[in-house]
Amino acid sequence: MTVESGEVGVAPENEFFEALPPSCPPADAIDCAIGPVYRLVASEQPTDHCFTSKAALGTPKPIGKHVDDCRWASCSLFSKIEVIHDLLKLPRIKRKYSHIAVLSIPNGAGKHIADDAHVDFWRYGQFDIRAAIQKVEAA
Amino acid sequence: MRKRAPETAQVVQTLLWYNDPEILFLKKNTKEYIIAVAYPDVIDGLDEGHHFVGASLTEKDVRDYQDEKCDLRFAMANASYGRFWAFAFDGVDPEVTLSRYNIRSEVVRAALPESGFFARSHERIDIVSEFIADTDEKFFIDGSWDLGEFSSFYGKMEDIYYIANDIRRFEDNGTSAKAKQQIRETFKKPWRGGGSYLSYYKDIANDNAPTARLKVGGIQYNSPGFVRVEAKRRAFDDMLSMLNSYGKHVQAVKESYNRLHKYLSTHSLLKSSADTTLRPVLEAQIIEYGRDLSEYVDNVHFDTLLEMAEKNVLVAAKVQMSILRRVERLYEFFEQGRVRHPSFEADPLMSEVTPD
Repeated sequence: MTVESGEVGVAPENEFFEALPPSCPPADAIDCAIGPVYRLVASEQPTDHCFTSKAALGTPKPIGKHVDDCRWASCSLFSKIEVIHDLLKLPRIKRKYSHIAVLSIPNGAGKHIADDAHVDFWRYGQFDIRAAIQKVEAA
Repeated sequence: MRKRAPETAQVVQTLLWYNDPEILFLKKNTKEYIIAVAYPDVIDGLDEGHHFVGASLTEKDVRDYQDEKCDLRFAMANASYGRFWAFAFDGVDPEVTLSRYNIRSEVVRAALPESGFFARSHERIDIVSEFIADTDEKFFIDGSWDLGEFSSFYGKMEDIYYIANDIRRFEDNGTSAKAKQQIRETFKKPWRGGGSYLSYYKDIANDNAPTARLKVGGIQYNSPGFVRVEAKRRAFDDMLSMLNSYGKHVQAVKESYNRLHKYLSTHSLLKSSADTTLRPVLEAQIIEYGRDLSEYVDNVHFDTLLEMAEKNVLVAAKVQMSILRRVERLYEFFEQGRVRHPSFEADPLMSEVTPD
C-alpha cells in the first residue's frame, strides 16, 4: 500500500457516509490517498452495500473481545493481497465472496487508520466508493 | 432409559470476523477446547444461526496451532481427541449445543479450511497466555539426597501448589459457577467408595494444569545444585506464603493439628467414609478445631474447604490435615538447609514458641 502525500481532505466533520459514534473517526485518522487496498465482494459488479460497515449492517459484536464502536462502524480494507488469499482458504468466505475488489482511494474521500495489513476506512457522504474501484478480480 | 443431556460448550473468543464470525474458539471443559470454522451451507438438524463445524483440541494442540507448528486444517483433522462437532451460533449467546460428527462425514470434510491457513491470520488465542508460566523459580539444593528425595520434594511442592491454586480459584469472585462446581466435584470424588489422597491430588493437578501448570524447567543434581520450575506467579506465591506462615507457627500448627487428629481418632472418624453422618455436636467441634488450625497457615481457610466439600465437615477436615502434612514435609527440606529459595527463609529457630 502506498500513502500518497497531498492535500488533506476538507470535508467537514459529521458528513460521513454512515452515522458514527461520538469522536469517530479518532483524532489520528487521516485523510489522504491510499492504495492499492483490497476487499472481498460477492459480485463482479460490487454495490455500495458491499462496503457497508458491520455497525450499519446491525451485526452483533464478536464475543470475548472489546470492539471499539468507531472501528465497528468502519469499512475494513486490506493493504496486503496475501491476507485476502488467506481468508479465501476458509470455506464459507470462499462460498460467500466470489471476487476481490482492488481500490485506490483518493484524497478527500474519507479518513482512515492503517495498521499492518488492515485499514479502517470511514468515507465521506459525498464520496462514491465504487469510483475508487480499479478492478474486480475473480477470487 | 434416561436420555443423555446434550453436550454444550462456551464460545470464549471470536478469532476471525469478516462481516460475520468465521472462526470461533470454545471451551468445552477445563481440558477440552474446540476450534470451529463457519460452515459454507446449512447443516440439517441445527437451529437457526451461523452453522459451525469444530474439532476438540487439547491444551497442547491449541498451543501448537497458535505457535504455527501446523495450519488450521492439520490442527482440526489431527486433533488428539478425534472428536468433531457441529453447532448453531446466533452471535449473541455464548453457550452452544453440540452435535457429534465423524471425521469421515461430508459435513466435516466440507468445513475444513484449505491448507496453509495459519494462526497469524486471526487474533491470538487469549487462553494460550494462561497456559504459559509467568515465573521461573530456582530452588538451590545442598547437602545429601537419597534417591527418590528429589521426586518427593517436587511431589509435595506440586500438591501444595495445585491445591493453593484450587483454593484461590474457588475464592475468586471472577470464577464461574460452572468452574466452582467442577472444583467441588473433584473435592468429593476421591472420598466416594474409598478413594485416596493420592488420587485426590492427582485430580487437582489435572484440573489446574491447563491454566497454571507447574513444570520442571531444569535440574542440576550435583550438590550444591538446583531445581528450576516454571509456574504461575500467583499460585507459586500462595505456596510460599503457606510455607512462610507455617514456619512462623510450627509449634502451634502441630498442637492444633494434633487436637483435630486426636478428636477424629477418638471418635473413629479418621477412616470413616465421606457419607458418615455426624452428630451436630461432633460437627461443631470439628469445625472449631479446623478453624483454629486455619489461623496459623495462610491460604488454607477451613470455611473455604468446607464450601468446596459442599459442607461435608469430615472431608474438609481430612483435606485440611492432608494439606498441612504436605506443608510440614516440604518445609522440612528448607528447615534442614537442603533447599533454599531467594524469597523464603526457613530456620529451625524461627517458629514462635508457644507459651507454657
